[in-house]
Amino acid sequence: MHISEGVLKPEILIPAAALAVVWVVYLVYRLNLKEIPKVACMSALFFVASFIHIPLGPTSIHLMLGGLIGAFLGVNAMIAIFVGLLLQALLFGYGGLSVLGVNLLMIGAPAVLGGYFLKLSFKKFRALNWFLVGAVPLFVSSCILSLVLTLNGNEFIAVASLAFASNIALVGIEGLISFFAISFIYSVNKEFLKC
Amino acid sequence: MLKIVLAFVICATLNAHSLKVFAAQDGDFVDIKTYFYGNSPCKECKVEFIKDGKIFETLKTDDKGELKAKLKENKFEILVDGGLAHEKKITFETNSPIAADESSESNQAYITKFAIAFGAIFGIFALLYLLKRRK
Repeated sequence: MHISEGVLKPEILIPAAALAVVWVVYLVYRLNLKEIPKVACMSALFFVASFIHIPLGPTSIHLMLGGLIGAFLGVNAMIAIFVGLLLQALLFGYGGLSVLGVNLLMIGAPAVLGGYFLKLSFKKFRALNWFLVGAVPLFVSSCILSLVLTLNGNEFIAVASLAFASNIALVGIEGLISFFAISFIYSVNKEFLKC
Repeated sequence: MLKIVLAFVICATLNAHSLKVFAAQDGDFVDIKTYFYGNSPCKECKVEFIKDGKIFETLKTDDKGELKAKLKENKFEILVDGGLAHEKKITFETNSPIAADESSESNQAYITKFAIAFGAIFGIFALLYLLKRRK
């Protein structure tokens, strides 16, 4: 899911970086003191999840858990994912510093949708919405990834299609993970979900 | 005449059990072929890989007296034990240098990076917490 350094054009990188910086700074500014430990835990969860690789034919895909993080943090998921991506870029070379803005908008922005589906689950279609908590953000992220690669040039269209196709399986996997994770939390501590 | 015949018989007997070992590089692997005089393979024979007098790997040949092993050093000795005090030691050197096996080192580095990452996450949010609390 991470776009590597040196792939995208400056016309994409610079506006994305500017938008991501403004968004993160604003969220950090209005971040509640009590929310910080939870954001830190979710940042660690995101960091670890990215290292869980699932073999898929000749390639492998890795978990993101963006939707699940968004379900627990809402808009603050952007902060957690930003820290996770920053450390992955610095320590492991996942993505990179120049594409941090694009990767953050691609993974972090759709993650916020997780919170929306979690709220919706308390009104109707509980099980379906718990599945959508994980599935929809990742699907949106995949669409953004394909769109960004397509905007980068016609030579990336094939790569964009391949990236989208490989992430479709992950959409289902993450949907199931979020469904079981939220089901478990709901049965153990219902109050934890009402945040 | 008797002495000559006797010497010939002894030599033939010695030759009958002489062990031959051939090693050739195949990419990142070394192919070893072993056989006794008369082309009978040295089956299930112990093969030791020695570097600076220390055994760094011990393997066995198959039923054909052959062995394919991953190269871990650029220059080392191969000692084949054919049993009954039949041993053969040859020195092997790679044609092209192989990359050092960094798996254990990389695992250590991986764990260290993970520890640094978790420390950094804790540090970043702890700092944020302190800054927010001051306000």
